[in-house]
Amino acid sequence: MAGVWRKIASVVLLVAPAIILFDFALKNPTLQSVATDLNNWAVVVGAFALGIGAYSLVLRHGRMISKRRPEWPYSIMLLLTMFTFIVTGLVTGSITSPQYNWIYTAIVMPVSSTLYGMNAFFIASASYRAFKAKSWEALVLLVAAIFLMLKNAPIGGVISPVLPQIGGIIWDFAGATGMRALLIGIGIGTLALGLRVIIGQEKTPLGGAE
Amino acid sequence: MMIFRELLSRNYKQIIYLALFLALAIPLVNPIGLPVPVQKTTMGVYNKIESLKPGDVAVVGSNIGAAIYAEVYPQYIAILEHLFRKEGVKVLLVGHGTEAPIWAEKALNEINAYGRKTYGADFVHLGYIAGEEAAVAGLCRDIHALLKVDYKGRPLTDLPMMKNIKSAKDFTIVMDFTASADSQYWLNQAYATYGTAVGFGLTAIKVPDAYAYYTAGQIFGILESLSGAAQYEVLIRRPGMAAQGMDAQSLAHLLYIALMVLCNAFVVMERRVKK
Repeated sequence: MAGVWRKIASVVLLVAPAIILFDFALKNPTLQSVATDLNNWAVVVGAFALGIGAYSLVLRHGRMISKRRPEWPYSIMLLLTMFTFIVTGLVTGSITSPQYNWIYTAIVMPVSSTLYGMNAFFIASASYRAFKAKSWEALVLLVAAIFLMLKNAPIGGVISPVLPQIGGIIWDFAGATGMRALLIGIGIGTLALGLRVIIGQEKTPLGGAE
Repeated sequence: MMIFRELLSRNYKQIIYLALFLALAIPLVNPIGLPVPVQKTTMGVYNKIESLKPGDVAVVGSNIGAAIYAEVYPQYIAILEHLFRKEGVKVLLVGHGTEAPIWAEKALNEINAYGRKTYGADFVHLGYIAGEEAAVAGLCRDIHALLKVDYKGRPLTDLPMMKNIKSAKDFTIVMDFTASADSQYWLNQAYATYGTAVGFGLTAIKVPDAYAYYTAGQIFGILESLSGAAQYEVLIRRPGMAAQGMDAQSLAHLLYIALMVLCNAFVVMERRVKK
């Protein structure tokens, strides 16, 4: 039975991307309508995935609480927070209602921004511990980093107008070209993976390669 | 110098954290007022929005979250303010991040959008759409086939603005605000497929990716983190939270540079002592 399902999944993986690809090349109204429906199904599946995510979260953390696994009180906090938001959203009928907004602005916003803001302190500590010019390559990176920081902060231009200009040259010639090479590599890799999926050579989407 | 090094090696975290706290807090309490030079990436966004004519449609991707709001929200506010100042420009807000509607509504209230313009005729908020890139692709293909109602449940057919907006062919520009790889979605689906002009408002960490597209001429501009927002606030003459934060950012950058130099000075000293 598993083999039949796998074959059906292979056919879906061949037909669905082929329809989307041909729709780009051919201006056929029927093909366009089918491709639009397929795309909208993907959106619906995406919405369902959120529900499945919530279900598996409840299942996993419920198990952690019932078996008193290490740090189980955090699981209680997680489920409590999740259900508080769900109930508030459902009762008030909107995630922009004053009640929902209050919970969001009073809890989520300060906690999330604090966690993100703490990065500034870790970076400060890392810039003291890790940016050691132990080789010529490391020295080049270090100098480039200093110029880029002076380019991004107004203080660089105040110290000397030349500093942001040097930073700009590094950014334009080294940064952008290096990143473009990376992006082209990723693009070619994605194309190859897509083709492997379409011709059935990639087994991962069908439940893992053997 | 040696005493300082000894002190720093024993309590370096406490000293560095205190120094950074002071570098951030002092300019916020007592602003220095450093000039904010405008970069070409910011100018690209400004010029594009300035060139919009009555009837043009601007899609604003509102993918802001609580974690990144300090960097991206000031950009979002500045762009919305600029768009709402443009007479006759239609604004369509949409997000594929779960927190997007909260930030979109917060920003609309902050710039008094509901008092300044008519909802449904001048701007529409579509809310959050699940499905990541498939959602963006769906919006670009056929909005009405994907969605029947707006964020507050009003039928799209009842909103006069939406009668002429059907797909990405009707979008004049897309300005997407985000912190993750999803900035690529609009580039793939709107620019590459329909040739719609796309620009970004990003966190600093995402800028190098997008900059490669900017230099290739595939996007019209980027607002780079808090500094991009501050520059935009200067351009539209609406000083806000970003411009206030630039002094603090400058001092923090100086501290980072000083720490890097200090760390390497100690390495050199250690080598000399060993010799």
